[in-house]
Amino acid sequence: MRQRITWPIIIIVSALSAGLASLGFLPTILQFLIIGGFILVIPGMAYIRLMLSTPSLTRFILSVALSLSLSTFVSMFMVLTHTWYPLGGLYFLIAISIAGAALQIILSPRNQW
Amino acid sequence: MIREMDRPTTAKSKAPPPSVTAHRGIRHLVQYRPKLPQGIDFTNLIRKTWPLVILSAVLVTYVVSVWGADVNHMTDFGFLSVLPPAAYAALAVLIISACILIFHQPEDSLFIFAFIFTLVLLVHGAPNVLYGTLRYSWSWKHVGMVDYIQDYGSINPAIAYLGVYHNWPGFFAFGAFLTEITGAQSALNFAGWAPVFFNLIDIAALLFIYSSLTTDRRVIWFAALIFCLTNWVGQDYFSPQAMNYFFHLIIIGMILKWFTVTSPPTLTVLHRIPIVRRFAVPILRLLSRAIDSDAPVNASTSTERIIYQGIIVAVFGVIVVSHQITPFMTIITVFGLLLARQIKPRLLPFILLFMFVAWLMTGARTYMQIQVSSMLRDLVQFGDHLTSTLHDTTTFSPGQVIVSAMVRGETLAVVLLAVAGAFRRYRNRNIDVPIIICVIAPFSALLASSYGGEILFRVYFFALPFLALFIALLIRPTFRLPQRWLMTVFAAVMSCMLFIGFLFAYYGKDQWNYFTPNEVAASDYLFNNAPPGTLVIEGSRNYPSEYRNYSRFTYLMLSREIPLDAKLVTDTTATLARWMSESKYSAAFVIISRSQILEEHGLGEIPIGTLENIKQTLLDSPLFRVVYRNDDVIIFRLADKYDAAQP
Repeated sequence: MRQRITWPIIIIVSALSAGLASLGFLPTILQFLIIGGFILVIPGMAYIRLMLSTPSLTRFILSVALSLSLSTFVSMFMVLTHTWYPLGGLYFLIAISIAGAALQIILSPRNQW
Repeated sequence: MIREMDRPTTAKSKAPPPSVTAHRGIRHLVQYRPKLPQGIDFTNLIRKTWPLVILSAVLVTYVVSVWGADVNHMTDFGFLSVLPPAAYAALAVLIISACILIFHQPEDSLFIFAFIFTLVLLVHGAPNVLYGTLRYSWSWKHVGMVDYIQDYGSINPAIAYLGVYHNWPGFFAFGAFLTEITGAQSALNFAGWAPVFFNLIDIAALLFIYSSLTTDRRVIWFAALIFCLTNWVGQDYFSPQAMNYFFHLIIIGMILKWFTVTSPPTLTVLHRIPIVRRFAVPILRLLSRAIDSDAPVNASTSTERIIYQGIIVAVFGVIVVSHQITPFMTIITVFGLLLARQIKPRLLPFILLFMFVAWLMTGARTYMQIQVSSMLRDLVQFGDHLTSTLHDTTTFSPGQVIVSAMVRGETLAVVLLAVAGAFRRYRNRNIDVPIIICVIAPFSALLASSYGGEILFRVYFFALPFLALFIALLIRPTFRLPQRWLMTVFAAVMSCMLFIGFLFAYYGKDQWNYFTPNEVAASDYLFNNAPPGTLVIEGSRNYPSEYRNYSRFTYLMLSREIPLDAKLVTDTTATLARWMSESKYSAAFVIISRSQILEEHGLGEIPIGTLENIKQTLLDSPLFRVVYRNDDVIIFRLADKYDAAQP
């Protein structure tokens, strides 16, 4: 059970940390590391773990690729639709990450709990 | 596809010889030694600690020796000329130790990764720390594009200057997004670390690709090391191509891992294809040899394969909206694999092609309408790409002639070593068709390109991961100890030689790729104070340019105008005064900097001394007034306009 919920918890904590860091009360370097780290791995990890049971290196690489892709799509959407609101984009990524983590918990076999 | 060489059985060496068994009791008495305290295995301890000791020593030596390097006194060899001997020694020890680790302790993945990570950090991070300013003039333009999106929140595909970025804005939109949400005021705050970041994620992607082709860890790690030592092209700076290269590797890796065929096509199937019908039998033989029964098993369910294809489409979507040439490279490679019957999903390549064409006809329509004629002209003048790529080195400074020779030597060495690797595989009755296709496919980019002289470098860049793999296969040793040491020595010597070429190629132009704080201060002054509608006349584009408010100005490069307009040299003041007094410009400046002059001296694209002469002429002329000056930069303005603007 512990293994099943470790990653969802990491995802949720990272997402919430990124949300808090975006409020701007941290030193810039810390804010950059927290939000940059989130953007780089977490949105992808939330769904890669949900969909695939591949080895950890593969899962990590795919998570990075998917996270960067999702972030680029979000920013492209805002640019093309003239709705540039970066914080809104970040909150959207946080929301889908938490949703992915929640799905991981919900869809894990009940007998594992 | 690439099987691990058979490990010789150690059973014989471990079994005691018959004579020993026969007289065991006596020998036991003779050889009696008191037992050492259990728990300390010194051999194992040394094995586990020496990499850590070496790594620490290398880090300390490099940092201490490089710390005081004076980057303001670089010579014609760029950053190489200010690196002290101890730094070279540290890097050599790092590479040799990495080779020993890879061939003798391949199971210590964490240590090997730490060595490669350190190599990337030292090679790509050191200039950023020592320079203190963003390296390479194109990085500044990319920061300018990010700044544009931050300012306007949108793009303008019809914009006159840097329009190509507005037609493929994915990377810049992401850059602006990242800058805003992380609280960084400008992308300048993190763009300097882009080479370290992109090299690291590229290596991760390469490990992913290589592990889908072989189970031999020595080959996987050594190929990754070779990639680091030969990736001199410098496409790792803050740029769309750097990010999209990672995505390209991911897509190729996923396809090679989960979508390669496991059995050759039948003769009946080959007979159905008109082009190959006559050669069906030899082709079948070739394809049969290409399928290795000992390849890593990458089994996946049909649901997983659908998900993988979805991820490929999503990642490719980002490539399509971010860069012009990378999607072409990806598509051509995937189609090459499909045509050679190396991959299964037949629809996927067509979906990728559709996405590429769809973006060209929608998002990049404006640019395509303007550029289609020049692209067709490029196709007709195919041979010119090759000749223009190989610069005429007669105009180069003596140092740059050597740098250029090292670049060519390095490239040639990589290709020859890879060919030797492929030949070794062929002699062992293996033909790695997918890898060969991944090497050859990028060459098709030579057909169509508006990249002029850069295209050969791009081809090398995209073929490099697979060239590196062939090099690793060339020197893969067996598990027999004497041969393993022999190959380790060969690998270490070869790696060091390749690294020397890399250092020349990668750092060789840093005399003018480095911008001093004075140059940045002058650019800050110009781009923050010039009113919208200003004409900026630049000695050349090689200075911190266009990184702020870039769309408000018109740019004119003297290095490009001089060959076209002889009056610029014979009657400098009158020509410049005429341009600068045109009523359509709200103001006009001439900026001549140290790095522009150094580039002119190094490459000799315009007669040496031209920019200095122009600078002196303007200083002597009453028509011009110096509005900003420091040790490295001078900015002029027309005297009457300047006087009129004063309160």
